[in-house]
Amino acid sequence: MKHDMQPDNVIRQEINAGLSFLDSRPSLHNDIMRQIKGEKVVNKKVSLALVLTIILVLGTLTALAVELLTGMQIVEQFAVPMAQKNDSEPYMQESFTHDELAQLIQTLSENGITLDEGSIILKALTSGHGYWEKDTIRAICDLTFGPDQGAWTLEQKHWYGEMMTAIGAWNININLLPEEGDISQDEAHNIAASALMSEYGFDLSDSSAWRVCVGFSLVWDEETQRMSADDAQWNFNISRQTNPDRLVYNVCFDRFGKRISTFYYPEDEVEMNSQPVSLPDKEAETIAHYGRVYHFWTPDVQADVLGNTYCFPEQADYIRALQMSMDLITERYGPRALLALEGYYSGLAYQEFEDTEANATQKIWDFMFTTDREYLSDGYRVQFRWIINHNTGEETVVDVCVEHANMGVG
Amino acid sequence: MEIVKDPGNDQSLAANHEALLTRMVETYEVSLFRTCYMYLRDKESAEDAVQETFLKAYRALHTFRGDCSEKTWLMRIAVNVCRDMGRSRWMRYVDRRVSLDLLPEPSQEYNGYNSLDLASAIMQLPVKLKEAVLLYFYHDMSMREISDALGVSASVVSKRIKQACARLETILGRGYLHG
Repeated sequence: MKHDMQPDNVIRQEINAGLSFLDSRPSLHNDIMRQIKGEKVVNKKVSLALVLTIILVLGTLTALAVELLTGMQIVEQFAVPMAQKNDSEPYMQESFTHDELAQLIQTLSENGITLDEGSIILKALTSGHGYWEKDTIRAICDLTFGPDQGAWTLEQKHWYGEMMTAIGAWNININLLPEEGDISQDEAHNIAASALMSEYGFDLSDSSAWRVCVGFSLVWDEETQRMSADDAQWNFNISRQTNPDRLVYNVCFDRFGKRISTFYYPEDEVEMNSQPVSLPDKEAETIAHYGRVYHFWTPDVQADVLGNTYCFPEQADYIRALQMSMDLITERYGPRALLALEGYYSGLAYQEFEDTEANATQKIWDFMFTTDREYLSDGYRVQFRWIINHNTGEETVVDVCVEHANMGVG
Repeated sequence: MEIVKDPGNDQSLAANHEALLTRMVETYEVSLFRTCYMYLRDKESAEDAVQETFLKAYRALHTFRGDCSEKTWLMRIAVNVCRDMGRSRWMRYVDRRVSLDLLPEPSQEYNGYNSLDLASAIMQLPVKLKEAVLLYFYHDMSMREISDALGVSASVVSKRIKQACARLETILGRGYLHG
């Protein structure tokens, strides 16, 4: 069999010649032995109960201390420097190691800040893993400012943006604070209230029933294709306290108070999140564990539950496909849609299989961008198929579909 | 060469294992390093993968039953280590929040895509084909050994190798491999 193919010598020689810069490392053996001899028998998987007990005890003891650090101070003094230490590839989402995570959680507990029992970060810790830096910091902020990021103050949003920028998760802080020459937040509030009253007869002062989220942020400049500080905008998003995710009114104006737009979204329209994602019953356990939207399952779980055509794409392919999906969203919904993706989660269901008849490989990309991984009440879904013909080397893109996230999953 | 299990005391067992590790490192380090590099396309990751492979092998020496050759056993560990590392790198890309300003730049780690050299062509192959072609041609393993290392049947291995060859011919030009 081997003689039929025979290029093995060619291949071996060429690889060795091409990769001759990869040679032996004299210290390798010693490094391994050092690791073996230095290692301690530590079971990294600590039970959740034990972690909670430790946290509770530490929290109780340290709550008696005179000066406790705030969540903001812990982020600034511990989490961000730790995250900066890890920055190897700035465009990547970096993770805290298990040890770093343990250290951070201990620092939090020593300062009287405890994570919820169901926190995904605690789960990561108890199962011996690390966790994403950005999401860990966000969790600390949620504990400090409250879980509803939209309702954070301008100062809190700005500070959060500074932290995200510091760890390389954002290139630029889009959350601004009014400067000299800008209207103040009180003035902005009055402008929004006046606009809502004149347009819709809506009284913004009745705040008990309504949730008002205020944002002052950079906007996307189509001309320069950059985020522009010159055109910073105020946004007032108003929803009912009883249904905070359902936007009812929106007022938008520029940094000098000139109105850009007002919107009212009738509440009797069918809600986007009314379409549940349904999957067969046999997958109920997986769904209960990993959530309903399979795009956010790990590829391992996708392969296990949905079939082995689901797999990991090549890294370079993934970057190209992600870029393409962004382009498609821009093309269909405009640059503002892309701007809205800030803070969205991206999920992917990727399939790859060989079409032996056509001698081609098919790569099926199915991206989901949303903040609501449970109901897909916002965001976009982008699907397309790459066909790579091995006879011609030609690559074609077919079956392109761009739509709102909650359409067609089920 | 078979791995010898020393029935003696713990100290002599440890010494024996260390000697085995030394020999394995001497024998396989460079080829493993190059294989891991072609798999992960990143020198530092490949270095880590090699170290992790030997470390896992050392820790598991007592479980090696000689059902397959030492090389097959080591390759199986290396393939799994690379898969895990590739997976964790990929996951860092996928489960992230996307923003306009954070769109990733194309990877700059390996710029060989336009080059028609064989190594870069192999690196462009899908993982399954790449594994098969590296173990078969570069490590000179038999279909049976590859089948053991990858946990698939020999016929699947054969099919993958043929597909890989066809792809390489497409990328590099017909007759290149036999030229």
